[in-house]
Amino acid sequence: EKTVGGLMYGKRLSSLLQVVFPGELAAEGVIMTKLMQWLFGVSLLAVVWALTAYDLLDLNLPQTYRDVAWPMPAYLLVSFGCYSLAVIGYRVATFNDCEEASRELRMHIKEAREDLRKKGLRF
Amino acid sequence: MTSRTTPQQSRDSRDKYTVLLPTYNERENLPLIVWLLVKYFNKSGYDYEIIVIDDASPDGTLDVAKQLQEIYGKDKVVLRPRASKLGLGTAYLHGIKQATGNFIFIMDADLSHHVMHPCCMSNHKPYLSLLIRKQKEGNYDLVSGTRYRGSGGVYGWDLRRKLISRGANFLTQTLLRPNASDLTGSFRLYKKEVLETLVEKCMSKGYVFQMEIIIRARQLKYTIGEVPISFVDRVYGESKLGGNEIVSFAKGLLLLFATT
Amino acid sequence: QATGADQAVGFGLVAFSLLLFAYYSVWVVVLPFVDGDHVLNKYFLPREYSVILPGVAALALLLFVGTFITAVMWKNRSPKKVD
Repeated sequence: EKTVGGLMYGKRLSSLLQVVFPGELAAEGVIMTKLMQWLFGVSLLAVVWALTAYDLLDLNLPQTYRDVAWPMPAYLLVSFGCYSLAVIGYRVATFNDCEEASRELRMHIKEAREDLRKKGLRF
Repeated sequence: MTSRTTPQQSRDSRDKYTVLLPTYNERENLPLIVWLLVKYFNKSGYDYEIIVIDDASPDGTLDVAKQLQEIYGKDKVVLRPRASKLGLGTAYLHGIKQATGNFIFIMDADLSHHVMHPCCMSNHKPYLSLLIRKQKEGNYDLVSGTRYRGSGGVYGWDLRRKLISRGANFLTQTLLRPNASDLTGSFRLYKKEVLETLVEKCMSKGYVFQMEIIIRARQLKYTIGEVPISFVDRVYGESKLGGNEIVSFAKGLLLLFATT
Repeated sequence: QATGADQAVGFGLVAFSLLLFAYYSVWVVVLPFVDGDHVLNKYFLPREYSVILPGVAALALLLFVGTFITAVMWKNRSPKKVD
């Protein structure tokens, strides 16, 4: 168990190193981890949001635009939540119940038991 | 498919399939799964061997395995017991070293995967042949059975279990974007050298181990094929999904999220 | 071919999330373009709640996850199970 933990720690350290020295490790063919991809995407969105909601570029955006932009982080979160719920719900509703498979398996098990007993297996 | 000519067929005839069965207290299930495997392989004519890696089960699984060896022969049922419970990853490594096949099947020894007949499917082909055929079709590095796609499914799961499993699968798909729909299933066919490379890179256990293998496969750019399967939950013994399983799954997921 | 109950719950979830999404979209995206004295305004809370409510929900979710994890950890720590 401890060696497993140690290995994991090593991995964690190496991913930390990737953040600190991306260039050096990139030479080894290390790609961005999924966490970094997410952080990158989220910070990109955050910048766009800040620019619009607070009109940081002084583009004189109409007030309604800014009113819509301001709750956008919450809106994206809620949308993502709704999307997740819908997908999970749909997949639960369409998850096949394999009644027939279980019936057939039971049949095979009976057959197997009889045959194995004939062949001299002591269960 | 029919246009494939002799080189393909002569290669087929040299293919050998090794089934790795890591067991722990599977005294009830082991004879049944071996019986099903032997029956199917004999019918289909593929060359095969079954390697049982028992981790010193106190219920006498090894004893049953020895009887099976006497019935089916030492070349078909190979025993590679270990002295104590050492975990799934090392069990596979241990088994691969002894394997003489160029392809390796991995499955649970608990009959969860209903080897013989796919349900909810009109053509009654055994899964083993479906996986083998899929592999040949695209020369895939690994072929994974999936409960979550097409005619795949489960038996014996209540609503709570379905919700959790679908939720966990959705979260995993979102965070890790793997090339496979079923990450925690354990009915898969690998090219031998591919499995060897993958297992050496994996360090987690249980559910997470199966997930990590697929993620590493994506990292190493291996090709993955999928076949819908029906999953009949444990016939003997119980499969647990409690708080512990959920938390350790989440831990493994986050770790893979941060490191791969 | 899921059982009836599972199908009902699943499609119920889908319907609920679609409704929620539609309502919230109107609230956040459409309402700012509508005049302040339009009847539509009657059906929505003041604007600041469109951020406060999801915030509260998110906090509750985090709290739930947090307590779940601590509960599991706590159970693991107390009496060692004999295997």
